[in-house]
Amino acid sequence: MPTDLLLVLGGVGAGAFGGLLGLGGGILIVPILTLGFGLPLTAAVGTSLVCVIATSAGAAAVNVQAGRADVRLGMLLAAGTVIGALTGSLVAGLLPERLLAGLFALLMTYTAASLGRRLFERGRPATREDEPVDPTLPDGPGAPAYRSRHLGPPVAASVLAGNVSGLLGVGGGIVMVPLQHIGMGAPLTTAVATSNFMIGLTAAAGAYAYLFRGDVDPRLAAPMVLGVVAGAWLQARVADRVPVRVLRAVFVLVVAYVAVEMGARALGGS
Amino acid sequence: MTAPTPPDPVRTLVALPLRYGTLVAVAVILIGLAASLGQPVEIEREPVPLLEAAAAGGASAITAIGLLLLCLVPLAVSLAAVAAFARRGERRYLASSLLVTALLAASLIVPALLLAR
Repeated sequence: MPTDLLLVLGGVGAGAFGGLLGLGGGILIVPILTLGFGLPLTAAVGTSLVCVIATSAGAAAVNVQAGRADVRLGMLLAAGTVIGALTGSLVAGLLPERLLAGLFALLMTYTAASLGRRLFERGRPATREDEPVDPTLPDGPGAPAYRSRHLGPPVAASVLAGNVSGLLGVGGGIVMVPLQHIGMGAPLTTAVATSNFMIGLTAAAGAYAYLFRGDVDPRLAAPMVLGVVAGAWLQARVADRVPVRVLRAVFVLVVAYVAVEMGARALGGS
Repeated sequence: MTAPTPPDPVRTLVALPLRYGTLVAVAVILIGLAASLGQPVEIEREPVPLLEAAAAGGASAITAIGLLLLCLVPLAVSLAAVAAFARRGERRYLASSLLVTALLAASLIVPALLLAR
């Protein structure tokens, strides 16, 4: 099969998967490029950041128009993640990576357990985060309750999320979706759509340096970007038809995988 | 019977660069790829600065320009958010959008200046 077609297909899969969960797809793109195409890690990360921008743009173009993403919350939290992404390199030299990976593994284990517990609660009465909201309403009467809370701690947490995700090479969505859903009480579908909107802003902050340095090969990135945009756009078109329970189950599996991966890194593995 | 809620102007304005910016970038990338059809993909082991690729001319230059346009979409989105929140007088969100725009602009300009040295 021609390389172009393989890259497009890989992009479609990563874009659909990343858009479905609000993750960006970097968790798939970096292994595809390094293991599948033998790209050096820095070039794979640079290309992955461009693809995350593509996932975000493809999914958010539909989600924002459809009123699923909360642009106000997204811009507030993005201020934190962009600062975090930019300062990540400064903190890199100060903190041992294994300690960070260990702390991150604990956070992901807690997130997986917390989300997983909700999966098995039969007949659980509707809670605040299960109630439908209109995320496009401005502040004031009728505005979503999660936005009226004190937003200082979530913004501070998003700085940390941008920082840690940049340091450990995981997408910001893996932290931002649980932060909005568990931490702030936003519905899971709103959290995913808002994360999709934000991750493009966060990825762009890191991507420009890779672009100028030459760590993005245009001939390789272009077909993948086309696939990613198509996958993210198609996914956003059917997002309403994916049951929240299925979305939650897939998210728990991904978070559990990241917890194991980070745990192995903390213990001196890969 | 209540009147239907008018669409949120912030949503409408922010959706514009997302939709049209992505469309234009994808169209340019497609043109670049179509122009290079039949040429085998060679994975570059050495860094190829995107601006150099864009200035080199030919099919790969078109592709590089398309990728650059795509990467500028988030900056355009944050600028649209600034305009939308400024017009509505939503100060809290205007401040955060301005901060995001300033940081993105800095992350674009600083590496470019360092490269130009």
